[in-house]
Amino acid sequence: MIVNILKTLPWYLVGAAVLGLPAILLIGALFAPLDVESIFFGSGWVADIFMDLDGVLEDDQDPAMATVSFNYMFAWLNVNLLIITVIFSLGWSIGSHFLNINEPGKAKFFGFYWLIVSGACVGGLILVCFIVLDFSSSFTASQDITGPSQTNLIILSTVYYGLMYWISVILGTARQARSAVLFANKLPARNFL
Amino acid sequence: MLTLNSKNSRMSKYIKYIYVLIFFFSTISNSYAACQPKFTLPEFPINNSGNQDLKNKVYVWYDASLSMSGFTKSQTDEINLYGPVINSLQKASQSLGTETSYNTFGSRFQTIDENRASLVTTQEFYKCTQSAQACAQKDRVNGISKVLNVAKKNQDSTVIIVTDLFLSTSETLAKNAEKIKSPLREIFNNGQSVGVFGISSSFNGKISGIPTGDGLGYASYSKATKRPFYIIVIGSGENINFIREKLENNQKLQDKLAEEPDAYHFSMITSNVIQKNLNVDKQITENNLLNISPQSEGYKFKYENNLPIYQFITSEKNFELEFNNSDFQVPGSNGVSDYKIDVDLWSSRETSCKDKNKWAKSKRENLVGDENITDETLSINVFEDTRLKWGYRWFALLNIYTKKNGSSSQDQFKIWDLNESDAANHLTTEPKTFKTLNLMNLIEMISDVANEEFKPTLVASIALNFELEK
Repeated sequence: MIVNILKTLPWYLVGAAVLGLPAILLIGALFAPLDVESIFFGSGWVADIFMDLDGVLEDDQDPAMATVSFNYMFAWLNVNLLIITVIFSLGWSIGSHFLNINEPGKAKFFGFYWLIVSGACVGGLILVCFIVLDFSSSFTASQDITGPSQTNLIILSTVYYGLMYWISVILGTARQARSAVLFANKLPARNFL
Repeated sequence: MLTLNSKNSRMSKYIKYIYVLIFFFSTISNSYAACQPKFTLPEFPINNSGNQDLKNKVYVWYDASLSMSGFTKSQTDEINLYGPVINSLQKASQSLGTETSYNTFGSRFQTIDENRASLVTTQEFYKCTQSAQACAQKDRVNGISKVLNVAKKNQDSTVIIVTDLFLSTSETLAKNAEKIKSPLREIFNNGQSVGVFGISSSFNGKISGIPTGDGLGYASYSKATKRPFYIIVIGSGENINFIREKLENNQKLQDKLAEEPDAYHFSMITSNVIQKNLNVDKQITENNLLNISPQSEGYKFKYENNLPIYQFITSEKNFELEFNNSDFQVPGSNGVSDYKIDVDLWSSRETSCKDKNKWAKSKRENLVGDENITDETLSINVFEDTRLKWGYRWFALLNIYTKKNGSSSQDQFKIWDLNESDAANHLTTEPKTFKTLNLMNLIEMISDVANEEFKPTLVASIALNFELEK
């Protein structure tokens, strides 16, 4: 079992790194002061797209200060989303080996568990987004985001980290298990697995 | 030598202490100054002191038209208030001024002596010595515009007019209306007010000059047993209220009001119903801000250059201010129907007052909701629909101005008003209480002129300095 887990873990890491690495680089860039330019990532686009600059200017507040606060909030949002994604995807990648699925007719149980874990992951991602981006969250910058921007940010973040979860789970799942293989065969990306 | 050195060292010690103290106090004062942005206060109007020692001349004008004599004759089953009220009025006018001048208008426009004035509550006073036709002709014209012209020329005086206010329609139209409006403009422009007292009294006489339905002539009526008469006082708000107090203390009037509350009405019409600015006398207190408790965290209330500043920490997103109308409005006046509230708003990311705060002036609009105006209070809701951001310190400077005078007290006279078009019908019903022709025309005319001369007045300025928590 442990050998099987160790065999799949590198695959999991490869899958997680596809979208996890850019997320980590972005988090680093967001935590960096405004005057420090990231080699890999610029972070200005985040505030440009999602921050309610009109609201900031309406109160005549300093846009640079507001951007720093906004980046700080967005960085912590990504940290939390990344943690959630890693917990669920790694949890599945390891936990799937312990499922009693190596018998004929158990593939649907495998899919059932997978759907529960995936749903919980997506629910967790949405919940974290709401907690961080809501007007009354502990981040003052949560007030510098309009309703539509908040919705867009929640959708995009959920899709991004949901995709990260998907890729890492597809690659890192219990590949040797019969049910897993049967299940994997039904997935749209089966040709690439 | 030694003692001199020790003295010097002691001196330098004291100087050091003084330096430390100066530094300490300057830090304290600076910390407070840092807690509010730089702003300009509007100029507070000077409150009238209402100095009772400054007495001026009082002009009393009696309407000497024949129909007024009906108030002097007794009428069975009805209480005569004309006599007692006029007696109270004469006493009040004596106390009010240094000198009282008595005059008549209507059928005769002349100054009368005290002996003649004392006869005003008798029939003798109203006897017309001319031919019946000439008397009837003169009776149709009230001539109040002439009295208003006298009031215009004697702006420091108080003018009291006793009349049945039975104005012909022609007196309220076009050039004749302008004859009434023109002196009123100057009266209001000079800051004077017009107090209208209406008292329903027993009546036993003939009312002439009632327009007939066909428009061809005038009818007279003598079956009325009750009719209102009016006392119009032109002068300062204080003097009008002085007379009001004296009249309302009249025992007979009080007895009558106990059984018939509609027997007496009063309205003060003025171009500025604001008696005093609330800042000047520091009448704004902690109690005016309703939803913030003075016991709450970080609460401070202080005046700075007559500006009351409420400082507090809160998670409330809107605030309610309430003022008693009686604290700033002229008593008995029409009140204010609309206010203009200017709000300047600043925010600072630095919520504590320890460091120098960087204040940014907000461009937000619609910071104040609709004010709730009742006969007793003015309530203002601030930031009701404004999503102020928490985690900031906010400073709001509110200046409350009057925008439009009200019409609450003048409306009560409508029950005694008679239109020319309704006059003939009114006559056919053979009423016991006869109404006053064109009463509301005149009252509305006075009110319109007061509104024309209306100038926005600063009622109060208030500052809210608060840290908004989540």
